[in-house]
Amino acid sequence: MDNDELIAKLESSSGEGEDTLSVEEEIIHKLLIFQIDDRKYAVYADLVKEIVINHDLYFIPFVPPYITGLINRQGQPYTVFDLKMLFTNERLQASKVMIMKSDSDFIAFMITDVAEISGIPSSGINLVVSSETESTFIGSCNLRGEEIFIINVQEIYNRLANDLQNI
Amino acid sequence: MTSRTYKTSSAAVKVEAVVVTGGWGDFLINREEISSSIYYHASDFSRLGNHMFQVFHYNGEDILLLDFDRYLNKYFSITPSGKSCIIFFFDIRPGSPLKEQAALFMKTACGETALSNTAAVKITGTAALHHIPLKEFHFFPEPVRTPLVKQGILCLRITETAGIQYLIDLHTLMATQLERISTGYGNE
Repeated sequence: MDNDELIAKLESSSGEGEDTLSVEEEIIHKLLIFQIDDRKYAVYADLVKEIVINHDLYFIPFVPPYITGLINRQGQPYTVFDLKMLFTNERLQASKVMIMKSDSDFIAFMITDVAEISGIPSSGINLVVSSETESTFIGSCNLRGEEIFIINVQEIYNRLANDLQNI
Repeated sequence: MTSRTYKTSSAAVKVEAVVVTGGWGDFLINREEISSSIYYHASDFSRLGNHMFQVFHYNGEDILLLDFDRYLNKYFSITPSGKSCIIFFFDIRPGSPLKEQAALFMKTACGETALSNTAAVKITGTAALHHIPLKEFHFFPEPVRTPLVKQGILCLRITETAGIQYLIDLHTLMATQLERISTGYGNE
């Protein structure tokens, strides 16, 4: 093998190395897994601002039943959703609220508890493509044999905006 | 090198608001909306009907009156109770949708065609005048803000002691409720 061949092989092998590296560098999504009663759901962790416990909830009228009221965080009111009411038409009894991070849409979700924060590779997330559920869930992932649906926060906000037009 | 100093306004803008308290929470009404008010003993109104809107005879006039207790019961699931109640009188603004809705209601309720330019709201509880810094008021977060404003619930104030307080616009609140009645939802 002369030097030209050596360089050629080196170039080609370094290219393969890059491919391998890109596979190894598959994006890991950090998901916050939370419970609504015993059922687990997830949101992308970078969308969550904080979890608050035993905070006062203030009732607001003229909204759908899946809105439980407002919560005050440093003088900023957040609209609190009851996802159990949204999904199953039953009210959730819970004392924790997950405040979402946003500069414009001040929303929060009542939750039973935080289960864990887990890193899931892109290949581990099954994006939802069916028309029925793609609005509410981005997709799902399998965590230790349990299928966990990932909440589409923006679509839930959009649903409220849409429902309010009919009130 | 020169330096600049910027002065900020030391006199914060304040809103003169009537805080109505009844043990069930607080509501705020802009003082500028109210022309006068009278305290009554709650028992004086026990003979009033069970409707959200009533015709109230006062100073020789038939006046449209909103029973805010019934409004609270219907939309906030609150049943106000107490020994005193207060009636706020206010002038119906020219061009307000309330003028047309009130005329329609009064004509239907008592055949009254010469409509008083005054309307009234009866609330069980007590009232006090407060000067509240404008910065203490917050808009409702979207998207709930728009439907609440349409119903006359303009914005809110959150206090450490009293919790949440809603600033209501009497014209819009009464006009939307009267519109519900005229479109068949009933004066329940």
